[in-house]
Amino acid sequence: MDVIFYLSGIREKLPRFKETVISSIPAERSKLCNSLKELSVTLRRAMAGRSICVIAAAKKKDLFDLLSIQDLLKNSKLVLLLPDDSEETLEVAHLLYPRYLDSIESDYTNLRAVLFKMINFQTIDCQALR
Amino acid sequence: MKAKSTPQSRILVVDDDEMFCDVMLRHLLKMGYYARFELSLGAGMKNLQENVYDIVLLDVMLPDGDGLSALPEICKLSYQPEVIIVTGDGDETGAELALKNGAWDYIEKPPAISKLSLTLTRVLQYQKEKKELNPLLILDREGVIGEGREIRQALKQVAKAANSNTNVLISGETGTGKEVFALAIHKNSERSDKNMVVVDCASLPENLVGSVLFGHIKGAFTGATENHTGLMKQADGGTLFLDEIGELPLNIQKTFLRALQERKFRPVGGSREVSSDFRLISATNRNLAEEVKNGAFREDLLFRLQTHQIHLPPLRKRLEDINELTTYYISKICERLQTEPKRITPEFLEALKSYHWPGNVRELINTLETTLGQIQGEKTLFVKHLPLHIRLQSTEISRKKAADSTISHPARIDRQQPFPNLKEFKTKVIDNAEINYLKELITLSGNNVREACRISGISRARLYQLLKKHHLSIAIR
Repeated sequence: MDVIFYLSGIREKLPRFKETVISSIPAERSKLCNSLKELSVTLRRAMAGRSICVIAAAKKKDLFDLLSIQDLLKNSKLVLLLPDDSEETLEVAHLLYPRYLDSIESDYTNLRAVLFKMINFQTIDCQALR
Repeated sequence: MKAKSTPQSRILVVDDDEMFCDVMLRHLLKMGYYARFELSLGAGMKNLQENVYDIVLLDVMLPDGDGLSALPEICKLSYQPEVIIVTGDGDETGAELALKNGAWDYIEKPPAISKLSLTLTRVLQYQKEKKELNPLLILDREGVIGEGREIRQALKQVAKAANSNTNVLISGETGTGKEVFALAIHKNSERSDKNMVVVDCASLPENLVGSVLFGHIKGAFTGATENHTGLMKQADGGTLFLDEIGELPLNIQKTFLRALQERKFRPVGGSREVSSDFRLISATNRNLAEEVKNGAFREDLLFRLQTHQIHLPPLRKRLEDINELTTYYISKICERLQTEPKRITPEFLEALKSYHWPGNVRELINTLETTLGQIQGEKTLFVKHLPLHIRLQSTEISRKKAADSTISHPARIDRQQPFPNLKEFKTKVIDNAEINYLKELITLSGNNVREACRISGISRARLYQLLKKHHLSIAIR
């Protein structure tokens, strides 16, 4: 299971994120996208149900932007890092049916644990079919 | 009688005679219907696929095809419109064929407005009563593909669940589409304008489940730097979807059961209860009854979860849906990959039907993605494009079928039966040969009447005659 990251919303915290989360995933299984366009291209090529997409949205606008690629996001297990947990933010976030929500201000340790479980559960699931 | 003309009744006229369309449209609008027209079969089919109509007034001779050949395709639309054939070239055979293929009536042009008005009334009255009996007709499928018996059964359950507020447990093997069904229930329910909140129980570490579900108060534990609204509260007014509920830790199950019974819970570290009016849908690929026996799942919780149970069939038990699923997903994947749509050979579909699909629809989608990702600019999908393990299984099954058909070949005489006379024997052999030929012809022509006539060298009338004789039908694509 591959992990796609789009983290334009957390530029300042990116080193910490890399250290805590990205470094725990084998390099050949992760891809960091630098723009929404790059994310779209990557998602177009991703196999349905075989990837996890982690997106950090710094503002509500970033979340609304994601609605434009809603169909592409359906192919992946979506993890969203949100700017706040106001009713409006959560309402838009749930239109994308995320599998896990966290705050961009968190220390990312919970996120790391969730990703670890997601990757392993999916891998076991796929292996059981072979 | 006037009660029929509700503003919701929608009629589409498909006819190449623009003047006739104009006149009809004026009459229909005057009768209070919503009406539109299209001047070709292609435009009509596109409109029917993109919009919902109650009735289609369909001409037979259209510039780009035969209205009668489009009938099966129109009747197969999920919202099941009724079709009234309105033609200037009426004949007995055409009328019989139209009614046999599902048309409501066959009217010659110019139609008497009083007769047409009565017919429309009857159709709408019939549809109203049918909808009351069968809620499936008004179900928004939300990506649930297939018309097979098993999937229609499941959809009937979805319709029932959507009309109630009870807890639903969706079970089925991995990849059968449990989340798609959960979404269909939510989208068709009265809670559809609120959120469907997904809880992926399989992804949550045990120490996180409580906080994610119920929320927490600032300072409740190390790292709880802010108050956090749990998913259960986020689903207030909407639907809470617990995926892989069999993975929910035992220690959480008890607290969750209480929250489920009372729709009230206490956030981690909090002293005050929070209420949430959510509707619960859960899904599992496990046998929860077995899990109860093994002590891994609470019996009282299972009892609560399965007020309404929906079991999704594995793909190997709904092989009749493979054609539709394949066509649908190839189109979706091509759209996503931004490539030209691809044609499919009948052998390609047969090979897919021969495989046992342990990963169900998800595995089918992944197979099609791999296949489409590998071919470069080719326009047609052949068996050779499929992964080796699928081709091997297909070859094995074809070999077995060939061996079986040698034994039960229709031209062989079954000595276990009374010896037939020559006439009976010849008729049976020819009938079997014709049926096999027509089935192959329909597939090869891509359900295109003109193409089928071209390939077979027989006239359109002869083709319809043979189809009728063997109770076969042809649908346009």
